[in-house]
Amino acid sequence: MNIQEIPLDHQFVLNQSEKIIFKNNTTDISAIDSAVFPVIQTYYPDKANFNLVTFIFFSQAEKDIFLLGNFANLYTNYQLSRVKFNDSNTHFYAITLKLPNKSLYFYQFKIDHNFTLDPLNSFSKTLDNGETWSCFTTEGYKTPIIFEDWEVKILQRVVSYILPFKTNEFKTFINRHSAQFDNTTRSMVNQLYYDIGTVNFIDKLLARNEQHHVISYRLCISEMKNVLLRINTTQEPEDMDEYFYAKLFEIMANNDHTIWDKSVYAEPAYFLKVLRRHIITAAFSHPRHGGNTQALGWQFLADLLQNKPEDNLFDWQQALEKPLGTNKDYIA
Amino acid sequence: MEFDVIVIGSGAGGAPVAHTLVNNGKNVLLIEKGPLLDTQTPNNPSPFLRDELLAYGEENIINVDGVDNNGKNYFSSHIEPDINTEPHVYLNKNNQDLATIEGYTAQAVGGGTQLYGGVSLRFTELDFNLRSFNESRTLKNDPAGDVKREARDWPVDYATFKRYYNIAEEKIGINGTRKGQLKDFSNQTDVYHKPLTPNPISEFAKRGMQKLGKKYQYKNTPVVPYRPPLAVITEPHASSGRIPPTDKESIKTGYVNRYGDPLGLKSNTWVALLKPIYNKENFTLLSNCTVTKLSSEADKVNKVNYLLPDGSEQTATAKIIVVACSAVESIRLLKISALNDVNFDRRINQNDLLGKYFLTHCFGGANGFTTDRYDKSKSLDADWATDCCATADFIEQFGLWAGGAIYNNTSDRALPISLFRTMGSQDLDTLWDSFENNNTLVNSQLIDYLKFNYGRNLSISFMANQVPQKTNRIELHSRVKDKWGLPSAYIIKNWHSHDQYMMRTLADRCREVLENGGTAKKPITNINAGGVSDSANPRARIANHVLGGARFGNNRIDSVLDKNCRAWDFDNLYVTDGSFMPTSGSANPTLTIQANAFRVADIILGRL
Repeated sequence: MNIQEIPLDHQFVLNQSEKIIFKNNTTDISAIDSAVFPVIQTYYPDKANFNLVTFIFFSQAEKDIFLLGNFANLYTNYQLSRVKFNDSNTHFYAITLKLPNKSLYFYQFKIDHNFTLDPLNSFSKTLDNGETWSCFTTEGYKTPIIFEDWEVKILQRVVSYILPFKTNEFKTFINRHSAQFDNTTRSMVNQLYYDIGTVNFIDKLLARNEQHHVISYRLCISEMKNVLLRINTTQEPEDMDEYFYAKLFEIMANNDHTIWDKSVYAEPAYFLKVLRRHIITAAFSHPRHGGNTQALGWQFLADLLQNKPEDNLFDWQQALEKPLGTNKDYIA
Repeated sequence: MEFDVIVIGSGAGGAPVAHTLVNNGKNVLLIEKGPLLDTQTPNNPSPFLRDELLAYGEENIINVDGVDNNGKNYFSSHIEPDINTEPHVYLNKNNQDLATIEGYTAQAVGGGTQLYGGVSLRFTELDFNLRSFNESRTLKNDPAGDVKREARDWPVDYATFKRYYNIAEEKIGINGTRKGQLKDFSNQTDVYHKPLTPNPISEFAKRGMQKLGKKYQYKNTPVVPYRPPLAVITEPHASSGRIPPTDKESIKTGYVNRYGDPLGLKSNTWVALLKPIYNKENFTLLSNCTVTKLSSEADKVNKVNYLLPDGSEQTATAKIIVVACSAVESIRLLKISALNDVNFDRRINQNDLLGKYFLTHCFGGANGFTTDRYDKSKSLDADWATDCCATADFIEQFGLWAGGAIYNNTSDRALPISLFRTMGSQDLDTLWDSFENNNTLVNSQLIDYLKFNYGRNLSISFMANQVPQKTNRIELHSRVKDKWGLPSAYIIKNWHSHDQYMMRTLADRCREVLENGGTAKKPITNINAGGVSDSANPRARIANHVLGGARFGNNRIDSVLDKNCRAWDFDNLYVTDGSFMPTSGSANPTLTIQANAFRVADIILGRL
């Protein structure tokens, strides 16, 4: 594939510097917890298909720094450029590539024939051949990268219990609007698909911004499965009725250690708080984050929150970019 | 190369100075710690997006050695300093040192004006004379006579500020109305842009304020509400070249307070003052650069040390140095500079006042629920305001030392995620807490919650003077350091008993606005009122109005800065952010900081 290098926006790279911590008298760097590197931006001319991805490297000694990754043949080396500040060289090197979105990428830097992971990106994956690579996903990548399939299935059911998409209000919304939905949206309103969007949002949040919760998720989903199997010994969790998920919720909310094994994770009620925050954030944030699929969460709210049927009292489209929204001036 | 002037900080206090001096041909270096984030261009979206996850999106965990809330979570906007890299620490009532997200201004070119709601009120004439005004008065809830002892008249009066208010209003780009404002606008061209149509929910606020103004009259005349001046352009803005969109109603979105504006219609100091001079040869803007110390020789600051974006150290020199990086950070910079420079220490600490008399505002209000629902996501920050609680008559009637402004918030809780994350939260440190602690909020209960809360919440706020106390102060923390190894700011403050009385009094007036704003058919219900001193964590509350700590005055024994905002024992060191204020005023402070910075710019210009 022919990958396009985009001329470097030096100011943009330098704007990332506040998210970087210099240690040991600036010989070593790391990123602050909430920062995400490489930096991924919308590629505005074709945002449906591409992202701009900017890789940043820091070296006090002048070096030739190369990037290689699975976005091209692995023998293709992309050389990072020296980042300038006020017309002078800095210790930053960077490159911006236009990469297809909805993808998972692996990469390393090569300096003096040595390979190194990205010190600013703590997300890495060890491949089947035993090699570890720095890793990132572009926008819209839907395959889970943190969760296993069985974890996804349990989370989907918990999401389904927590979100109000099985209520009569949601059914009314779907019935009222289904005639207007295009084919894509119609397939999205499938309950299961919506829950997948939410789980996908959480999966990417854990891979990028909130890595500190990965262990809690691992431990708790495993114990959630065990609890379900304890309270229903005859079915697999994915086949169980919602009643058992309601029960599971109650056990967790009450830190019920008679059923929940506290040696695995002491306070399931705490985990439940985090999970609920993640689910709400997923369902009602901008669709670009992957949880609010086709803005159905917002459409539902607009429908729900009316004084009378013709009202639109949550006119979210007027502020937002086309084609999602209707604003004539704002682009995103 | 020696510059004429180095300005440190690009917000409300720094940008007006740089703007004025550059336009007068002076060679100016402006150093800003945060990034330069521009508005959108036809093919490039802005880094400021209409996206709820940019304001308090992902969770962070406090990881700061030496604070008692290590390990707690926090949520900050994408352009606020990270607590973990630049901690602000405050002392709470249990003598614990807590890192806090309160009291930060945004860290970006434009400073706090990038994220503010834009309320741009002038202070009242009384705000400038609170010592004289209170000299022979008896006040409630001030048993030790602290107000009389600690209040100060400003060394520059309203009449002098008046001209600079007008300059700031024109240069910044503000919409609003004068009628109803009890300030002297005489012989000044009305430069306000025409306000947009108010959100329909604000009609209740207007009605309530009309009734309040009839009850609390000024000189036996009812006080009428007005459209508050908001720093958002609604007409072409000549001095910055900004043009509003054709559909002006589309300017109103829920992404106002706490959001940067991708279209540049909100008049932050980058789009209003700095972008117009950005390409001039006599202007250098260094963004992403952190000033670490000032050095001195005799009565001159002769060197500014700063770090480049990649951490390398640089120095710069200028004839005049202007510090304007917010009251907390400016005090910190001056104190850090004094640690390593005996001469600097002796001169900046010629008395013991640096950092003392730190101020914020008495603030709070009332909120209630309308009978019908309204689309609050089409709004600016506030639609109606009244000055009836800022008059001498009102102040006399209640035995207060000073007054306050009242306005309604329109854009609060207008977007879905904000309804959950601000549910029951008392400050920025407790976002999401109430939602997380309410495990019943699932499924159909979520529907009930949304139906009750969405589009029905009407809040009325007050903003009033806080009693200056010497014990309220900014220090350097003895243990906690920032990512550069420099001592962090330590915020020690408490509320005076008269502050608490002020907040109760004004919160009750906000309650009256709501009680009287409804109609028989459509009453406002579930009304709650209070001031921030009632909150669980009152000492944390700062409102992001960080003021005082380097107050100006006519007497070198009693102030840190002279009336020109120059440090007394330095010939060339000026401080122009909110730290110059001896009292915090009866309104949001930004316009007054900007007006003062324009004033000081003229003084500096006269010297160059």
